[in-house]
Amino acid sequence: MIQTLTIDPTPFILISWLASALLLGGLAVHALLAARRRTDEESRQ
Amino acid sequence: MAHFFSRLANPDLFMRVTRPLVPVFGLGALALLVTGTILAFFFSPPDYKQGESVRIMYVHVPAAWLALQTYAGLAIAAFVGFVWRHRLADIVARESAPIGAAFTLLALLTGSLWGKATWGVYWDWDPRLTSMLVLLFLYAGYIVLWRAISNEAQAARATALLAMLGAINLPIIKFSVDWWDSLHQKASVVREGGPSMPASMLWPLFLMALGYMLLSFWYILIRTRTALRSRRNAAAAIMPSVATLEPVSENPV
Repeated sequence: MIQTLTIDPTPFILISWLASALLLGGLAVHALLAARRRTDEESRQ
Repeated sequence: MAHFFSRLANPDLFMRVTRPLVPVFGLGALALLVTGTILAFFFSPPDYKQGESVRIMYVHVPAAWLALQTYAGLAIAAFVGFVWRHRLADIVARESAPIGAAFTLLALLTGSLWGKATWGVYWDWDPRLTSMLVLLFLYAGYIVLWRAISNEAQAARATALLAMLGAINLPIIKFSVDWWDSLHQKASVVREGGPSMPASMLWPLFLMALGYMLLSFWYILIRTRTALRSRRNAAAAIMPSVATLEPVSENPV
């Protein structure tokens, strides 16, 4: 007999999507800031 | 072959060719991820067995695919850098590692949450889960090794060896669910007989996967371009002092 789990999946879904958005978004912002910093340094030289 | 890679590995050509690609990949990724998210939450049905928890699939599966794809790209770039000594290939490999590690971490994290919601456990020493954990360690080892060796040429060769050896893990991850008894489900999209899910689930999944892929291309391009610009500036900073030495050598005292 298959036993059905009764856990509410909502927090698991939210954490999964939020973690994905934060981690990938964070990496993207970090890459953008590094490129911006390089441009600023080049314009100062 | 060597000539082809030489042309392709020219930093100036790379900067020229990739300049228009950066905004295309960035905006394309954003559009696909927003559309994919809307479809995943509002237009795809709950699974008949797993219910609403199937919505984790739309971030878990693309993250796992991209973790493998990024490592394959990293290993190929490392191989090209190792064999043909192209610095650009080494830089591409190095800059691919952080986003690949992030995809692997996300695949493990979201898989763990999905596992708890469907299997009742966060973790099991199952072949698929364990081989993905090994992939995360490979990425971490690769990043640390680059930082541990100060000589860039030596670091490139050492990390390339690690990357190429680590590529053995890719088929193990892919076929682990077929080779061994596994708690993890077998392939349900890329398999004989076609996908085992309806179009209403496949579309958001493909859009999210394509969005992740464009995001990874955008990230690798922008990081590689930034690294090349840093190298060019560093070289330019050294050049004037060399130039001032030339007249002295022509007129020895």
